[in-house]
Amino acid sequence: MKCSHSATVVVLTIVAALHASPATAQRAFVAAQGADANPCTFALPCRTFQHAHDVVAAGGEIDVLDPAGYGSLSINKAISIQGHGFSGISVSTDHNGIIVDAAATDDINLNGLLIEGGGVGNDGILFRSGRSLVIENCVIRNMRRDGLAFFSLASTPQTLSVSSSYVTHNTSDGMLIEALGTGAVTAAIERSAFYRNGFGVNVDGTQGSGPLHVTVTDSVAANSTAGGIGFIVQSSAAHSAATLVLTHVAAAANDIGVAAIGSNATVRLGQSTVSGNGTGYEIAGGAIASYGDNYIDDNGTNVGGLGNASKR
Amino acid sequence: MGRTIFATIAAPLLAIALLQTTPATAQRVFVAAQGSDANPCTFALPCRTFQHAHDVVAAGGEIDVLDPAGYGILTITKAISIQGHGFSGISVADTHIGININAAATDAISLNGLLIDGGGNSTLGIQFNSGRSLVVENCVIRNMSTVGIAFNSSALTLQTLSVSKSQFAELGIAGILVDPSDSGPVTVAIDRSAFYSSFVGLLVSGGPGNAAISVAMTDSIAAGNGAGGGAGIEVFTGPGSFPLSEVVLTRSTVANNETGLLVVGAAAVVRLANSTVTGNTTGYNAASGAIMSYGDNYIDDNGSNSGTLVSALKQ
Repeated sequence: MKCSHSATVVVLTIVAALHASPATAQRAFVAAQGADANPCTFALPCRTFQHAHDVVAAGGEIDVLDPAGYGSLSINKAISIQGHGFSGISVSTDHNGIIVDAAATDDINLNGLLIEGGGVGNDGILFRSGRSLVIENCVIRNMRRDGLAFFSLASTPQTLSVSSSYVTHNTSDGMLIEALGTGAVTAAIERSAFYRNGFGVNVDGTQGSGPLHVTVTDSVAANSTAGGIGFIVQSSAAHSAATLVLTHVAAAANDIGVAAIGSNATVRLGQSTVSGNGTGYEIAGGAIASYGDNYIDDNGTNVGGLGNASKR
Repeated sequence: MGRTIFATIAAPLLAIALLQTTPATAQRVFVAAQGSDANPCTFALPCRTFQHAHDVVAAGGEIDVLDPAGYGILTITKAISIQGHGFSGISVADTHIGININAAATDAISLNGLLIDGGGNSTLGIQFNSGRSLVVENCVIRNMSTVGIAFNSSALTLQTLSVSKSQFAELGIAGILVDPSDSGPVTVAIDRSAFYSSFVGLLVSGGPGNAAISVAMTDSIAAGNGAGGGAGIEVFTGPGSFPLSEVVLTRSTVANNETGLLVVGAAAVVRLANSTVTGNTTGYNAASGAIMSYGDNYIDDNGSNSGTLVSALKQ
């Protein structure tokens, strides 16, 4: 009897551990041969990003053990997904690859993901709220809408950081950065390539009022589709002050290389190459301030006059 | 008969000898997801943890990782290379250090392709106390309430840190802290690396340690740091007469930080070349210390600046 009692306690402990472990684990594992019935441990990994996200602790990490596809997911807390460059997300018709609806204190870190829209998925990553989103070593391509849609809906500051990523073949924008609320949006993009999108990087202040500041360095936007633009910032008098700073970038072989459309829309251009575009730069209501050290040639035409900015 | 005796006696002896000598002298050891520390850390019979692999590999040897997995925290006491291929995790528990380096003054340490995650706790990524040189490449160090790499060299001789293509993010004190505790000079090279969403991206703290510190940072970025009084890049020596603590920033970007560049102290210097400083609440703060510009930087769209830039000449 005593023995049975003790055995019961042990069983209860094990059951408790099984239940408690997934809810509080700081790391959750997914694998090609995993199953979502598993506790997402290294020994018993799960199968999908969504389930791993749901069971890992806030601020935790999802680690990928094998090359495979791990499905679309919605993120609603601080999390890191380390995909090692071999973790796929195949986005199905009218769905988004990753949706981020996190709190104003949440940091999201995505690394080494391959997000493929097959020409039918909507957005590769749709960010609507959170404090910071870091994207590194990702490939986002072939979406019906945008590779990344960074829609700030919050009244708090939100920041985007992108390193070493490839954003290609998206029908609308490679990256659309837009303040829909009143919170300030800042973005830094480096060492990334935007090929064959509609617009490569689209900074859109026409909808909200939160200030938008986007810095792109050591990156390229090229070969955009018909009617496409490499880098564009747009706003209007009643909306966001929107600034796009381009240093050490290239805009090549687009219909329009660099565009500043509407009042409140400003581009600053330093040591960059704008070449082989139908229209090199187009200034329509906005401003492009050149630091005087750019390589702007071999475009069909240019529209508007460059302003000056001073190096210091 | 002779052959049988030889086989019976010599083969097992040889096998025993191999088993005993291999772990102690191997120049390469292997770890794997399905390994075991009871194994000899060979390719065929890999170990499970970095610490055990470190303990058995020859000084100057290499740890090779065979599969994606977590391999645990470790203390390094000799020259070694860890090649993590970008998929080797180190999960750091609360109050622990991911990699603690206590090596000799001649030891070179190379770390490549590691993912060090602190779970948001009071953890530290890499603590360098002693050694000759530390090279960090292709690593991600993040999500800790303290520091990604703390370079606290404690020697009287030169010690060097080299960092390439690494990411430091969501760190409560700093991405990299260079804070020598003795007078041996420290040189640091940082290339193609990113410092994101931390309190301070790069923090150079000279002064009381009395060491000269020289940091060359190229093609790198510090963005979204500094919430609550921090900065993208800070050089601190405090008041008083100390050896120079200097950061030379070339072709780099400092954006969207609370303060972009901050120098504090008479011996604190930043040199700025062909770099972009933009979108910061305060672009640069040279109220004490010096920020020297080669005149070819893109410094605009900051809320304000404090102090004046000093001219440096290209030649």
